[in-house]
Amino acid sequence: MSFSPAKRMRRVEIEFPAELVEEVTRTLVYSGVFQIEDSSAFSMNRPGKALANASEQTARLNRLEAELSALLGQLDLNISASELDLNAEREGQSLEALEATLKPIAEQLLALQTQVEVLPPLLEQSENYLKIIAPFTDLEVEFSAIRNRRYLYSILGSMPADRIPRFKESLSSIPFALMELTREDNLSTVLLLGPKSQQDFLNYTARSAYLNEVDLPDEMGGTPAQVTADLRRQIAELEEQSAHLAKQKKALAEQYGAQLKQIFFRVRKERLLLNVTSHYARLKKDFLVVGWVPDKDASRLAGDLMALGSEVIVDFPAEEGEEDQHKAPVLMKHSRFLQGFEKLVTTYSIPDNRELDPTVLILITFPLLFGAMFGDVGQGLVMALAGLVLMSGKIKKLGKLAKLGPVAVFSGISAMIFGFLYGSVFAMEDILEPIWVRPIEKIMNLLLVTFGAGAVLLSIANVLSMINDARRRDWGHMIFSGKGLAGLLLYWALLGVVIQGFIPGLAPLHNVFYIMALVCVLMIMASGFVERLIAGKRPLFEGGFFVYFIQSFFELFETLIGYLSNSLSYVRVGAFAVAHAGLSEVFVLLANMVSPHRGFAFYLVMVFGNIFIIGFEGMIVSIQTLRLEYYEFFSKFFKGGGKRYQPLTVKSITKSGVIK
Amino acid sequence: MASILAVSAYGRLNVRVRASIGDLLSTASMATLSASPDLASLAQSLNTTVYGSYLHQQELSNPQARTLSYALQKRIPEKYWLFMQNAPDQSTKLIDLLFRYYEKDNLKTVLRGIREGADWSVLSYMLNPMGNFSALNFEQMYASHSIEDASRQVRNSLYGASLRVAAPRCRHENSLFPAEALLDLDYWKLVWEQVKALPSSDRVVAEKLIGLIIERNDLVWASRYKFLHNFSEAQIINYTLGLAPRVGTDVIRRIAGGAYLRDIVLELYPSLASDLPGKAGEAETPTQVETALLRLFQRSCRQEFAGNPFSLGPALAYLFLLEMEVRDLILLIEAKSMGLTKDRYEAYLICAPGAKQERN
Repeated sequence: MSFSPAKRMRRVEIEFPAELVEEVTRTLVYSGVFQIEDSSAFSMNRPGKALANASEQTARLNRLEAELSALLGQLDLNISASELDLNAEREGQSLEALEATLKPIAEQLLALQTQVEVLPPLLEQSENYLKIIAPFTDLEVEFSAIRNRRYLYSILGSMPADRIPRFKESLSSIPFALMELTREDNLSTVLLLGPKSQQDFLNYTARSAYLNEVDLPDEMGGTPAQVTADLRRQIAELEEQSAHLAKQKKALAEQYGAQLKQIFFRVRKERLLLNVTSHYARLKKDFLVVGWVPDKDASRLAGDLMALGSEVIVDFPAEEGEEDQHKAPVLMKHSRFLQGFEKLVTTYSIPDNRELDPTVLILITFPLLFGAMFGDVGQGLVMALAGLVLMSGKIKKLGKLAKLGPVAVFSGISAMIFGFLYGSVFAMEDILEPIWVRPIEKIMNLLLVTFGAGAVLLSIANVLSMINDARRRDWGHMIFSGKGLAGLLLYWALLGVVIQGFIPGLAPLHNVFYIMALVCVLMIMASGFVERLIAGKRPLFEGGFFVYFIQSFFELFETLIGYLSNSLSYVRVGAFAVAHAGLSEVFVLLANMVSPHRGFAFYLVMVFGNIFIIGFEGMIVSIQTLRLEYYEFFSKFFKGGGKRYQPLTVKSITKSGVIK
Repeated sequence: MASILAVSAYGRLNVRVRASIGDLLSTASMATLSASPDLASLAQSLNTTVYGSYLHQQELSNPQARTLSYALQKRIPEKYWLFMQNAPDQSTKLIDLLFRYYEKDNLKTVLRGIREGADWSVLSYMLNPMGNFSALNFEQMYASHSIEDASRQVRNSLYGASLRVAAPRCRHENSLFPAEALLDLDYWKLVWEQVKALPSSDRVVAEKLIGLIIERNDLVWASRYKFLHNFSEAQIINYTLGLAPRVGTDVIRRIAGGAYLRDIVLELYPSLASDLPGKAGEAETPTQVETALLRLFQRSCRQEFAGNPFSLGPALAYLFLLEMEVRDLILLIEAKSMGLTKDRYEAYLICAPGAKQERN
């Protein structure tokens, strides 16, 4: 646990000939420590042979990957990203060799696939015939005799079921019979019978109703039972063929599956590695890559790169002081327990290398403020347990929130502690005696205490701001600014002026507070001038003295207003504690109205009330806590603006296909 | 609770509708656009309206009827999408389905394009823009250059079953008519089923407005099948829907029997007397009757703006009015590009200067 956000980073510039582009890229990615900076803007617009080769290579890899995907799909082999073996051998066959390996496999599979694709339509057709004939199987006459009668004309076929009523209406001018034999989804098999003399009418009307006549093939002679038997035999044969081909396919999958997958992932890795090169600067003959590496890994990476050839130049430019580190990416590495709090910090901003990482502070202040506003032993316990469940990751849908589990646990524990102080258990205040005070009974006391706590937190924020200034060596700002020593003393002086009115013992210090405030006001008004003086900037009064004076006056005014509003803002902690107690009381009243003797209904209302309080008020209090952290606390000392350290790894480029 | 949520959702939707109504072109604006001497000045005049944001320099400097029409049509998916995002859950399916009309039309256009061997660069501008809506991959369908392959690509879509059923007839008759007719019949049947599934307050208004569309379709289809295709009564019955209350099989039979469409329409909708002047027994072209029916529909839509705000009525009315407005604009663009004089096209405008108009 540290207040310092980052490990020291070193800027690295690597120059290498175009021939080594693949090897260098591979080394950088597999090192897992190099954060690339996009330097493609430095490219000279003269694409050389190596670049042409790279783009040709990319196109070739794309083609190969698509072909492999298709082959794997045809063999019903699924490709999962988790199967990508990060430690797979880096060297292997050349692309030509891979293509040559694939060719015979693809040919075998194509031949098999051609046979496989023929079968389903044949099978479907035979099954359709079978369905159509099924209603006639009991008839012991030739099938042709059913269809071709002397006075009767028939049409056997299928049509959309929902068009049957309209079809019947359209035929109403002649005698007819329309029998629906089977129905599957919205498709009905029907037999239309009508006078032979109306054959033409029946035909064109049937067509307009989308009745598609089924023409049984001539070879299907005999009675319907015989036709059915023939069809069943045909279907059995087709199924047998299909099963045989499926076996062949499975055998092919077993024979080549592993090899195809291996080649697929190899090709994908190669392609992704090549994508990385789009961020390189392309010089006349060489490539230039710029990035960052943690200090401890710098020499190892340089050694690996230089081992690729004497033409590889690895340079760690001399550091230009703190400013250089300022641009370096930030590696925030906290324990699992702190990651939720880190998330709260990074939602605000990522700390700059030269300032304090407030993660440890928020670990203390967030639960403290939350608990003070949400003090209840029972509800805090529920919250802490919910946090533990979140942390366990057992609820998959909430997996993304697992990191926030510790925040809920700590906040829950804090709420429990304050619950003991306030004497509240599951919104009931008659079970525990308060160790300190019942919020609703001593409202003013509570508000004053939270005001005081706010003053302490604001003072801490001010001290932290001074430490950050010291780390940046911004001495003028540290001593003279409204967020520095002058601001802090002014705040204390003003607090002293207010407090001495209530505490008689402090009355003699009355003038001291006024003088202290006056000196601090002058220091704050002079801060701009002093900062420019120390930094050696000219003119000392930017825009002239009058403009400077007006500007300083309003900055001072803003500082004073800021301290006042920020202090009052912390009063909300007490106010919410009171609101929490009030809401709890409402539910107790409701429960007593429903069941004065504390029967089942009483507890039912209380359960509902507690769920409501935890869900609704818990959410509001969380937002308020975050608000206090961000706007009242962080804004005093935390600027952020850092860049997160995200090194290139095989996993990162595979996941996104590009560098973030 | 559910009804409270629905009221809130209707409120959200209605805000969008009310904000959009003001963007509909007034009769005066349409008259100004109609008075443009040629296509170039029409494009410039359009640029000063809400349609200006859809026109790029290319459409303005060298206006072509095809590209200009395409640009204006982009407003339709935009509004459908906006309303669908803000409509209550139970109504989004209907709005989506109503927009699918354009997808179905595109499908028909692509199939026709494949059959006629049209160039994609031309065909793509004949398709309706789909905006944010997911749609069939028409370019891929076209690239197959085969009706069968293209149909196979949409086998799992809303239109798969229709194309499958119509395929044997298309092959046998070497025509796309069976597929196109069935696509229309199945589509409107599905829309009607969706209307029937709406909650009561939405259903009443949707039945009224969409019922008018279905009635108009049946009347115009029946008339065309009779006089242009010379189909029999039985065939015409099978090629029409007969779903909406006023146009049942009896009306279709009368049209198939040779009754004048104008007379039937005036019997069904007496308020159209001023839109269809002339004596009983006088022939009118189906297009003139269709325009009159559209004007009736337009008036019905406008009435919805004064209706129940906590229903789908105002949103549907706005969308239909927008579609009619775009239809009129495309008609104007076509007329100007062909150099037609006002008297040649004005009768076919829904928003014709003489037509009854009410602004809200």
